[in-house]
Amino acid sequence: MSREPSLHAPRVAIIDDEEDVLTFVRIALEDAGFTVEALDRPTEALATLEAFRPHVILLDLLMPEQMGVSLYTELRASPVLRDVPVIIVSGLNARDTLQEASAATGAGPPAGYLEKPVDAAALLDAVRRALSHSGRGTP
Amino acid sequence: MKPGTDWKNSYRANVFEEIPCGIVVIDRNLRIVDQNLAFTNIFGDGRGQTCYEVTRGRHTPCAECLAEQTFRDGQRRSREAMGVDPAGKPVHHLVQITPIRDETGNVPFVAALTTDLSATKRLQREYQTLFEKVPCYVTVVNRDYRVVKANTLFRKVFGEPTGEHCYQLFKRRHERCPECPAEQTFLDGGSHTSSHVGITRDGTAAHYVVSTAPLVQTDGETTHVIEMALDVTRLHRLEAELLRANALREALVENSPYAILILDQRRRVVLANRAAEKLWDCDRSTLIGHTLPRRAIACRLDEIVGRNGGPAPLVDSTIVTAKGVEIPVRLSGFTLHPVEGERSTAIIAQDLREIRTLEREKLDAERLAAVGQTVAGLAHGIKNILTGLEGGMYVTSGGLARHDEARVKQGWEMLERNIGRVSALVKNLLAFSRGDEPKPRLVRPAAIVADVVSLFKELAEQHDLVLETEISDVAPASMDAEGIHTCLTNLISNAFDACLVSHKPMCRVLVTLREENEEIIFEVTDTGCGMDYEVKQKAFTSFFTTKGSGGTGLGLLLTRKIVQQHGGSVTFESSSNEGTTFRLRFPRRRLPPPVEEEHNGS
Repeated sequence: MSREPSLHAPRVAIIDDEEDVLTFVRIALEDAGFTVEALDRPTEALATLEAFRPHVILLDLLMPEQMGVSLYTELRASPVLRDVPVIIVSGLNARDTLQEASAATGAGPPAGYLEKPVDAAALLDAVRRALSHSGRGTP
Repeated sequence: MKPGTDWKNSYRANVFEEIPCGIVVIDRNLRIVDQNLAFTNIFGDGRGQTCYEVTRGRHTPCAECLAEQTFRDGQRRSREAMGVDPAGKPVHHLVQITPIRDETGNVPFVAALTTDLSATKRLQREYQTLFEKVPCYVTVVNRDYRVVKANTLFRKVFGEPTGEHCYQLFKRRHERCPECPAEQTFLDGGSHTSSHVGITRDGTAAHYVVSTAPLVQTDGETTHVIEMALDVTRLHRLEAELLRANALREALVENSPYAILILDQRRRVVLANRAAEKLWDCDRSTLIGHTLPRRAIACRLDEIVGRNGGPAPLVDSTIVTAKGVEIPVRLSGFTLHPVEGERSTAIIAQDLREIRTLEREKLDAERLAAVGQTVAGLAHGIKNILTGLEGGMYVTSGGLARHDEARVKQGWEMLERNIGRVSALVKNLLAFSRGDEPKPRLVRPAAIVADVVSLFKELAEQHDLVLETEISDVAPASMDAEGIHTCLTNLISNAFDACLVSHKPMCRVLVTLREENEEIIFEVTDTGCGMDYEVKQKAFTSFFTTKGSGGTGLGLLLTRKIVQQHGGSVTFESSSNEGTTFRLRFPRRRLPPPVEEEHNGS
């Protein structure tokens, strides 16, 4: 059963340049009771995210304009977002690149990795796990 | 008169007449009373005239007249004097005055002996000039090896000698040199020559060749020696430099990693270095002095020698070793024109075996890397599509379960779109991997540009983009029209995408065609989003796309492949937020020749 997004529902942000991935993630998470912000332009994501104050961020690595890795380090540097768990959702096996970048900038590793293709169950599982680790209730 | 006295008088008179110096007898009035033949030859007949009239052309007696002094005191005297002969020419002579006494001891006459010194003086002057001006150091040393005389050059360099020893002056030594040529000359009276190293006044070493000869000999003993020292320092330095240069040249040739052979005009080997021994696999003694076999080098020598002193061409050829093994080499050569002797030819051979192996390995590695990159990129593209399909199924099935038709439609569109992407990916992949050679024909480049641009007109209007062209009249060229069409389509499509994602109110796309210096140049310029550093780095990477679901990541790669097949190149300039220009350059001389039309459509 679908639930209406509530003011108290946990907020999840997804940044990906694939329109269909955004649609899929948004619908799947909204079906599970989350409030979702789907963003397709990483360069403009930071300000929106700081305003949205998500509880979990899902981030693609290979995007136009700005690569996910540099957005990740920006997120870790933001005073508002630095403690928000980030789950990498990518078809690219970029753990090494990400680890190098996060080590170089002092940002910690992401909360989780999801390798595309992802199904709805795996997606929800990863988001719920990240929320429980950060002490947030899940829908 | 006794016979003896007659004889004596007679020979005395003869001697008086014939002696080769002028004798004149003068009375107390200084008048000439007698004169001999030699005097007559110099001054003419002066009998009855005064001596000063005849010898000096004077009208009064000379000051300090020697004859008058001898008339007074009866002493002999002599003096060098300048006179004038009857022709008025100056005469240099030595005058000796001898008193002639009578029985009472008085001196009624004096005899003046005049020796003509003109020739002697001239010689002396000449020798003096030679001594002074000769361009080497000339010194006269005595038996104590002290320099008693030195020429101008010596004095200029070493200063006026003040009785120093020659070894002090030339070498700053305090004792005689061990091998002293002057000593030898003092010992045997002969000439001696040897090389010496001295020290100049400024303390630098100087090299001399020293020759000695006896100068003054008294009673068979040499009392003075003339030393001539020729400064050969420059020559010595040149010689040393030549030796060094030679040693360097020999070391360079011998240790060169390239085989070097020098052949004379009859193709005989005159020089072979170590690398040549190794390359031809034989001892150089079997090479040098022997004719190089024709088969030892596969190409003709004139093919590898630079013409008219120009740079030697690099010719890839083969050589055959003494054991008959063929080896790939890169050859170059040049002609040596010595100052003397016949021309010869130098050949430089680089063994290409290792390079060829490395080239093959590099090509293999590149191929493998390309395959790896292709597979990785392909997997990434497919993963995104699979996620899209997954999402499509999720949305569709959710919609079906809730009988939500809008959601079913949304899911179905996602499925359709991602299946479309799979087929586009496969199509581009095939186009890229087919490896077709282009089929060039003579085409008008402007026609291709016009055709491609017309296909984008409608799309430009839909998106409010300004699409413009600047097409110069370029002569027909041999190109694969379909391939160039694909390239321009890709570039214009990219330009449109860059404009659309930039969200700028008004973007322009300009397509130009022109020819510069025999190069056909296509340019596609947009004022769209431009590329940042990371995107620029990956522009030609397979499956790299910034377009999300819109691109396959193969467009630029395929474009570059087609352009390279035409001998051309792709370059681009881009700055973030300002726009991008892609430029395709096709040098005419590198275009493939047009293929023959196929007549029988089989």
